[in-house]
Amino acid sequence: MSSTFAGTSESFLRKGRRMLPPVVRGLFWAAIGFFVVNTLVSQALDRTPFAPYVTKVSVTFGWAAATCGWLLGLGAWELVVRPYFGKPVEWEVPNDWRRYFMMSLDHKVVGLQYMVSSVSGFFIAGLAAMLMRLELMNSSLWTFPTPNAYLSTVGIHGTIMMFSFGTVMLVSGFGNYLIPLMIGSNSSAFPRVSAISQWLLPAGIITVALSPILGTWTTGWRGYAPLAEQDPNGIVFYYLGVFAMTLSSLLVSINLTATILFKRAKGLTWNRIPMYAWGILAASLLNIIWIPEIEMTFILALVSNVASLPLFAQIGTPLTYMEVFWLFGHPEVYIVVVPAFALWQEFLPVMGQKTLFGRAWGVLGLVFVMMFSGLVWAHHMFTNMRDDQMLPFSFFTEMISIPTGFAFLTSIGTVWKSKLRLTTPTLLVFMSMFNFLIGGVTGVMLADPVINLQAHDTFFVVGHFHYTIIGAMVFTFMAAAYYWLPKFSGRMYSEFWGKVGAIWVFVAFNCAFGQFLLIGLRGMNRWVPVYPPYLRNMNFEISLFAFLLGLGFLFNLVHIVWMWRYGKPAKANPWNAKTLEWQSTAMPGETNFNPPPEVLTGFYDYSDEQPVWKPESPVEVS
Amino acid sequence: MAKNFGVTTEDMPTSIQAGVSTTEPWTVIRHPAVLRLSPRERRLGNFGMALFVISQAIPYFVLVNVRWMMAGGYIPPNLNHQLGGLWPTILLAIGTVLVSLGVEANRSGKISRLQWSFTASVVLGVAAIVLMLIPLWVHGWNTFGHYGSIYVICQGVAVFYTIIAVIVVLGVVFRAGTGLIGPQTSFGPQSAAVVYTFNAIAWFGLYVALYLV
Amino acid sequence: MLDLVLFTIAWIVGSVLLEWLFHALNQYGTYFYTASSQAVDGEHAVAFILTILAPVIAFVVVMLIYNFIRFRARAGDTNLRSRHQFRTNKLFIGVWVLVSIGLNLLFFVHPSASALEQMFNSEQARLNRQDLEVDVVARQWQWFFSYPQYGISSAQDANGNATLYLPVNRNVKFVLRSYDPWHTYDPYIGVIHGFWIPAFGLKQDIIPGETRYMYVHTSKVTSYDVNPMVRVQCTEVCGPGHPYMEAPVHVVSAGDFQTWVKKQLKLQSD
Ligand code: HEM
Ligand SMILES: [Cu+2]
Ligand SMILES: [Cu+2]
Repeated sequence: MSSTFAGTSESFLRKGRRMLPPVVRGLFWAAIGFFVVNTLVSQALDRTPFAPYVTKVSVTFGWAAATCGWLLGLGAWELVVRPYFGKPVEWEVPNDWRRYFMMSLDHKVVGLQYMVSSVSGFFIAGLAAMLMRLELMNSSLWTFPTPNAYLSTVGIHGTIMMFSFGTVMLVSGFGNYLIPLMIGSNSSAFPRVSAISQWLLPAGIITVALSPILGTWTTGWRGYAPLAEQDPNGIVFYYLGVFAMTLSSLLVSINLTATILFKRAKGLTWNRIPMYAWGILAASLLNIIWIPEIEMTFILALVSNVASLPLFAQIGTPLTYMEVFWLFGHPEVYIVVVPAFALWQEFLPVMGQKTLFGRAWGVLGLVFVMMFSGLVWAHHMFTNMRDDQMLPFSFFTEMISIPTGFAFLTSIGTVWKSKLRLTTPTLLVFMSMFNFLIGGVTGVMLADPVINLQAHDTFFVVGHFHYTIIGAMVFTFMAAAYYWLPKFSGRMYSEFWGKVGAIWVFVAFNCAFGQFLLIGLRGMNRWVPVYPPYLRNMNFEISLFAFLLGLGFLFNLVHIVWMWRYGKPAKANPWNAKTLEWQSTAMPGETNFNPPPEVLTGFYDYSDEQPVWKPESPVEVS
Repeated sequence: MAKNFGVTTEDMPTSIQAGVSTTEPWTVIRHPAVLRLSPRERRLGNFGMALFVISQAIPYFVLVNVRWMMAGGYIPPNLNHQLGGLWPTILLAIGTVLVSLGVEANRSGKISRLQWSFTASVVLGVAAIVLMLIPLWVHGWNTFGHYGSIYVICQGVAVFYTIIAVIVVLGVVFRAGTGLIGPQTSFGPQSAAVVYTFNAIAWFGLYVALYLV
Repeated sequence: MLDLVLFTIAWIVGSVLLEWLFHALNQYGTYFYTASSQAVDGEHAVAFILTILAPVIAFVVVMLIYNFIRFRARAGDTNLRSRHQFRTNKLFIGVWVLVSIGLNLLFFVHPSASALEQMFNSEQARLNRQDLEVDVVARQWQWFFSYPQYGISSAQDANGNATLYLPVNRNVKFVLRSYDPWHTYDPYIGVIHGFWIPAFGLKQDIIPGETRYMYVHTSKVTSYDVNPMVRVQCTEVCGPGHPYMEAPVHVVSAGDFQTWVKKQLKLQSD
């Protein structure tokens, strides 16, 4: 066996093997895959009258082939397929900008790739939101040509926001970059898995964003049957795109769970696991359970759509899609916020230079939220269930606010009597707590069936969930971006412009979404490009604040990108944090820890000056 | 950079397994397709497999759940569950025994026995796929009736997962052919056997839930 | 100690302010226009929850502001670390946990369970023998209202648009179905719609292939012309026509209702 290897090692040194740049190769192979398979299916295997070139069936198979081609071209060919046949793994990644445009086994590169894909998703979906708000400035149709076009935009907005940003940014983006660093490891557990999964994300985003090319779809982000069964081919791209994006998250979650459990540095015992790692662990377990669930649901809907089976039609079981969707849908929102909670507990001790308060309660909160999250789904369906089923779901929904409250408990206890540095991340975390408080209070109200039956499917609910998602997740994500900017880029942002950005977004957000709540209470229902004229003035005003909010996000993006390049050089550990990621100065393409660290105490105790780690003594020098 | 490449797998640093060599961590990734794992790495691999299997069991729960929601549905005519259900179950069960024999054989260094039994289980798997596809192909399409679309979909899902399982097992055959698999590198055959067995059990469960309960 | 006292004062002030604000909002009628007893129940539930939660909200908000101002690191302070380092405070955590459990149990008992109880009761068959029955059919994208007790097969206004007339102070039983009266043979045409009259305080989804019921008790004479929330509105997205699925509602006195019925019957026989 060794001889086999020694033999092939010659070929390793073949220099300058010519190859297209991986992205180009991926696009090329994807195009070939699509045309070959689509043609085969639509013209030969499943020829329909008049033989249109693209049919629901052919586009499904064509898409699958294109996605495979895309992944293979980006490196799966070398990393998976050739080894599958017993060939050695040979994959060269140039140590410069090109490494971001191919599959990389460095978790830091993968993390950055994810962040860029995810932020692109955020701005694409944000643009969709701006278009929606533009339409809603007027009570009649004026921005979009048809109601269908508007509804597709709502669907694209919700889908891309949730599956490429909400679920992804803090888990796959920051998680891939920081979790191995924070637990003192040089790599994630299965680097090839994350390398591949990252490239599913842009594929998914593009698929959903371009879905209207195949025809507009009307179902919103739930893609819900039976309505979906009437939609034209665009809905197929919804299912396929979401499938790609969720698969990406599933793979990352398996990888990060294994990483946290198996790649911890010496001395990093269970009770020293960083809070963020706990958050990622909880979110990952939710992903591992619920993503396969929703993917099977999407496949059921896709098949019954493509093959026109009456699975969810009147003669099938019309409510089942909704039920299995929300069975996933509610855990999904905890996948979004749990990492954010964990980040509050990560940043506040550092910014206040004070020991984390009630750490066990913080962890308990994350874990219980995770466990409860599977018990509350039907509160999305009070308007279509039997009366006696409402009470238990109402009960668990109200109860879930208790472990959620622990995130506030630990955060408040930590800053009490601390020496809080009023940096941009601190400010953003405080704003995030305020916003989530509103999200939580409106949530308790919605958990009450009598209120829910009235407010369901109105803008009150839209306001509520934007308060929880933007309020908790997006604001915390911004805090994280500022907090770790010196880590990623070695440069510092401008404290002044950072605060301007934070306050800008905070004011615009509350003015816009506070009024979402109010306009809901005045009878504005969801999914409507056209509404009764009495709601026009308020909608007009909301849109102005929404545009201000959009500009605010753009402003923060420009600030961060600018400082990434031109900011003042930062110290290695600018916040004087104890967590391990700041103890390494490795940039993408470099080894995190050499030699590996040995952890001596917990990371959240600021009562003494003892070092938290020491380099692990080399076992034997070879 | 080059100094890693003359080495034999025996003294290769274990951290290399996931594609990471110690000296030039990410720029040049070159190692054989199969590596020896340290015990800890093997446990890590097993854990990853376990997570994967758990996550892939969930779609079956969804299917069974939807099957119950579809109370009152009928098995479509010509969706012959003897042919498409019972026989594949038997074939996959034999295949499961064979793959585990193969894993055993590999452990005691009998590579050709490993190859033989894995190849046989691939053949059985392919036969099961064909048998499952026949009723799927000939059953009566009725998009206007209670003639259980869920049965059709379950059958299709089973075909899909069986194809995956066969592909995974086939990979071991290929790599054993290039001499990369042996008692020291038993993770590959083992995890392939897990995938194959999982698919057989899951299909059996689905079959029982669909046609027998 | 000083901090505790200062904070408590701020908290009390904050709670009072919030209570006042919520009370004012409620008086102003921020929560939907209410024209049925069910809607009033919802309004009471909101008022109750907000009254109880005001001190809790005030606690967190005042805490955030207080911490932010009082415990900020001052410029020129050389020592980075806080002097106060503690990991836990049993009293604070204990009270927090107990209060949050207590509040949630309270909300579950009232208003959740108590209001639902009332709703269930109002739906019992023996109480609904005298109800006015309205058959509601939703198709893409239109409402049909018929009054079987009066022989009105499809209530319409002068322009032929569907319209809903109800007598005041009556129990009304809506029978909700989703199908297309013109294409009953197409199983793919039925989708889920949502039957909602904002002023009546509840909604019910309409599922193809099923029959659902919704009960309200009308409590004031009002109409779409008085307040646009007195309208039927589809709330479950059902395709491009979804926003157009609305119909005006009129709640009128018993006498006016009879006149209207006669007019409808006459219209129908013409
Ligand atoms: C940039 C600021 C944003 C604005 C102005 C905005 C605005 C809107 C509007 C107007 C709707 C349509 C409501 C309806 O008619 O049903 C909507 C829906 C939605 N938004 Fe946003 N949104 C923003 C950001 C986000 C973010 C960051 C997320 C999640 C990460 C998000 C997730 C959703 C979801 C899931 C829906 C539901 C879509 C559906 O009904 O299918 N939004 N948003
Ligand atoms: Cu409708
Ligand atoms: Cu509708």
